[in-house]
Amino acid sequence: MKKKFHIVLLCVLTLTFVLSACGSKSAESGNTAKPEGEFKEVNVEAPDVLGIKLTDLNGGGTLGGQYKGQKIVVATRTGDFADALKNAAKYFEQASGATVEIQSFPAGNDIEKIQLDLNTGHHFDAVLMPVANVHGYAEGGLIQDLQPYINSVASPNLDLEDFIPSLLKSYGLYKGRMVAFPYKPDSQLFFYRKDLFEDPEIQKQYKEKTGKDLVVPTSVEDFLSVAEFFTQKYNPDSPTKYGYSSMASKTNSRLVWQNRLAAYGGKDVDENFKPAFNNEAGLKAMQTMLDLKKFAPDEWLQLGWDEANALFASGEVAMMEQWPGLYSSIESDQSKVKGKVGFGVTPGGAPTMGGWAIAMTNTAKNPEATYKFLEYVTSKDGELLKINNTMDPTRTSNYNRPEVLASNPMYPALLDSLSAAQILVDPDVPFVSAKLNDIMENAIQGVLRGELDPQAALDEMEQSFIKEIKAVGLSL
Amino acid sequence: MKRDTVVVKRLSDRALPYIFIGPAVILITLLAIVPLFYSLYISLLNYNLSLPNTMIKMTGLDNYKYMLTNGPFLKSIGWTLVLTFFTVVLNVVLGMILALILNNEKVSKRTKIFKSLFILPMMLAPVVSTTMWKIMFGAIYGPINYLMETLGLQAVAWTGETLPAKIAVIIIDVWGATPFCMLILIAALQTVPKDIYESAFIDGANRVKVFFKITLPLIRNFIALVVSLRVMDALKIFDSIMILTDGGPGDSTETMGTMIYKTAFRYMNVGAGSAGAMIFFVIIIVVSLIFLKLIRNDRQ
Amino acid sequence: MKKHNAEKFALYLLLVLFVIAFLFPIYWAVTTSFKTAGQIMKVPPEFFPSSWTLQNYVEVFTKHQIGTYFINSLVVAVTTTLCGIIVGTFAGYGFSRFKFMGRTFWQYAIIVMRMVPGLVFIIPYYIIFQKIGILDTLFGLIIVYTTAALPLAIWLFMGFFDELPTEMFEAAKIDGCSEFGTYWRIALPLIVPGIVVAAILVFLAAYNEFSLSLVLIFTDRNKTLPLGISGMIQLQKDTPFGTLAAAGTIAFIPALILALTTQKYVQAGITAGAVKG
Repeated sequence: MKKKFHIVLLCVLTLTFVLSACGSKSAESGNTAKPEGEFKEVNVEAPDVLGIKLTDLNGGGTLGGQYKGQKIVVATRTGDFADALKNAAKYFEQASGATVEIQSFPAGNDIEKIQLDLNTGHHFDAVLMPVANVHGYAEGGLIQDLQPYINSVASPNLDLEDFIPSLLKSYGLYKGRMVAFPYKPDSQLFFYRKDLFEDPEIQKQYKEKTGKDLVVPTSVEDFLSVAEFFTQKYNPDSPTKYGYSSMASKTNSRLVWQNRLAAYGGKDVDENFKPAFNNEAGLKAMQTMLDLKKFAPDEWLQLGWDEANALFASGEVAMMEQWPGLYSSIESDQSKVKGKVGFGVTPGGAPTMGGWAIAMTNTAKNPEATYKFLEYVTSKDGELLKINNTMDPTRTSNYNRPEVLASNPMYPALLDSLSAAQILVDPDVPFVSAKLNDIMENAIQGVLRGELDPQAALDEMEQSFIKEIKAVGLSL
Repeated sequence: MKRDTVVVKRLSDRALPYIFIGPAVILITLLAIVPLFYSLYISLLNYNLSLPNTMIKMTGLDNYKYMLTNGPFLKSIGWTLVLTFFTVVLNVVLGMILALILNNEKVSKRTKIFKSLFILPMMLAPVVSTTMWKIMFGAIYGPINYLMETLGLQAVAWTGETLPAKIAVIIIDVWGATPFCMLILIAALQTVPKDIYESAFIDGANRVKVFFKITLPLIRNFIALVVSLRVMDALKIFDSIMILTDGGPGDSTETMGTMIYKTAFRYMNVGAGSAGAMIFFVIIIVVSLIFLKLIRNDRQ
Repeated sequence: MKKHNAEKFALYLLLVLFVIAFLFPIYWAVTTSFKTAGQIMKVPPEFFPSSWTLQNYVEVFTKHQIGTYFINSLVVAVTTTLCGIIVGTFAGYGFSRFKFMGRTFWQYAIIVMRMVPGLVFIIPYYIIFQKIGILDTLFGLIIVYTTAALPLAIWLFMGFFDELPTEMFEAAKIDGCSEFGTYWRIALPLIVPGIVVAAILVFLAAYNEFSLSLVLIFTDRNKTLPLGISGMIQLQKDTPFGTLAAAGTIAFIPALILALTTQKYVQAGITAGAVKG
């Protein structure tokens, strides 16, 4: 009995070790900088997207299977980003002959993991990351300039001018160098209950109460007045419980302030990394935030992505500032506001911008093939391969296609917001961006909970900003 | 308590103990002691993942100075100790109550199923259980708030306010770790011979007295084990907090673990993070040794 | 007799209350896995699902590679448990049974290793594993988890071996048992309850570990369950709580089986305790 157990144990042990040893071959591909494969005619077919036939899936004829045998490793966040890349990679592999491996890491830990590897392990040839991080990599010399490749091996259809200019500038360029291609545009949007704003009865009531016409607010003043009107606490006749909502939980709360900061003429940091918020603009943005708190849900400070969106979809909120992803909650089956929501630019007209960009690491083993992949996934037709994974286009020509524009009623507002946006959600300061985020979060939360006075919070933020930015040797 | 160890004299026997402990010693040396010293070395560098590698140099004790003058980090030490105190006390008390019930003769014949049920919380992957807790503690859609309102109480912004957030963090840890304490304490209670109880009851001692005078002293070793293991783990808590509150609201639920993690990985300052981890390590040693000492001394 | 029954009733009542409190989150996870998105974020919450759907399970298998993660996790956890128990009982026996040079040092060293915050190891492991080429392998995870499990396992085993009477070992020696024979045939069977308790702990720690697997694993084919499951949470997209709960429920099954099947060994602790008397 015991002998038997002994043997079984031994077998299991050896087996598992052998098995795991088999998996341990790390795939290091050869150091081939130049294409090796033969150039040949390839024909890549993809199913139509939104009824559009994709014709340019061979890099404008520059791929032709000549990257055969080369391997590209791309790192990004698990979920939509990885899925979108995987989808496009299929066609790129057919066209170029190269193999593409998408490695993805869970949200919340992806940034750490990728930074660790960029700095130490050098497994990745390309990274798809939030813009502030990409700029940090650029400052740290971890990603390379794309210009040489654009000059030598670009597809004839590259057409850099076609990228939305503000995106190419704020995502792609860092200190005048082209370090990345815009991949996913992102901006805070203004969502409002179109059905209520268009209801003549409600319009009448609003007129009686305030003496003004009920219009979708663009100025902060109108915003507050409409928010008050739609809050039951202040107006028992209000059709909604809360006039305003957003996410004010930790990691999100700074947006409520940032969305107004630029509107009043402030900025997080100027081009010399000097804080530019401890002024009238910063203070007024704080004040607006506290005003909005009156019209926001009592649980505001606890509302993260899921609860805040569910609340809006339940119809209890008149207006909300949120990322474009709210759209899928609005359109979901359980939503009570399906088809009743309008989209616009956040009141004040200077929304906070997010966004993702794709870049090539400076240790890329097959730089030319990697560049071609970057170009491929951001090309005019390549962009449409990611649109079904919530990756909105970054090129003007795609927004000009009627099929694309019709596919999502949010797109006009998104386009307007992208050109109006001035502040990045993660401060565009290399190395310490994440730290600055937490500094802002702690200060904003302090103000929202009444523990900090707005001016004190601004002072504290400014001091901490200066200290952190100085500590990494950036000029002030 | 300590058994006399047979002293082996023969030369061939000399090597025997080392053969037994050899594999463990090798693994621990290579994968714990070496990395620990490596980390100690890193803590003396200005190692920042986002800075170019060429800028890395020795900075002596700068990182330690930075961490020890870092207000939020010092604040997090205080909260970590408070958190540890409450969770460990609740863990051990609840674990002991459960172990006593399950060991009680009157129910012990049918406790099989209960024992299995009680250890389930430690089976669920923390990433799943914490996400579930996050839904349950939800402000608007959470069942806990719904129950409280049904009972006529006020709904609570569990992760939006300082005290409730702290309580929520403690609840999650107590929930997750009590089964472990129960498991060890059941094993402990079973080492107590039954005849001791019988003679005590014949002498007329009541049950409470028997528990404190006889049972507790006999299983003291196990309690020391449970407490010190739990203290070590409670001091290290961080992933549940990262998922539930991210240290918020503000920085009120930041523990040493979350602060060090954020310093090293979110802010990429690995040098300072490692220094923080070393400070953390020293604190854990001190606190654990105090516990061990207290319990051991008590015994003699 | 009446008093006896009342007490019995009180004890059961207490047990049931504890069970409800401790199992509620698990109940919530399991029921959530059968709910549609609309049933999850809802006021009032559905304590008992008004309708049941298998959609989440379908999605877990079609959209996510839960099968791969599951097998990886099992391979890692089972191997870690076996290695941890073998190496751990060996060392526990060695420490408990012999006096030798460096005994105290190593005992303390092992206890102290248990106190090291796991974060300390992340960067060194990454760099070392990169150098010797075992990044992104299950083997790397196994040796790391085994080492992490050892201090606790050794500590537990030492305690259990210490409880065994000295006379027994002497008798074994007289009977002509070698030291390995004594360990394998006499000591080990007597601490089976201890082994089971330690095995459960080691298995669960390895099965549910997240931070190190995050750092050491890169590709989808080598991901373990916690890594795969946490990938379902995207920050700017509604969390698929149903799918997540379904994945959690699937991940929960081996642990559940473990909890149910090891009961009788834990019970056997009574016999182990009796040895002393």
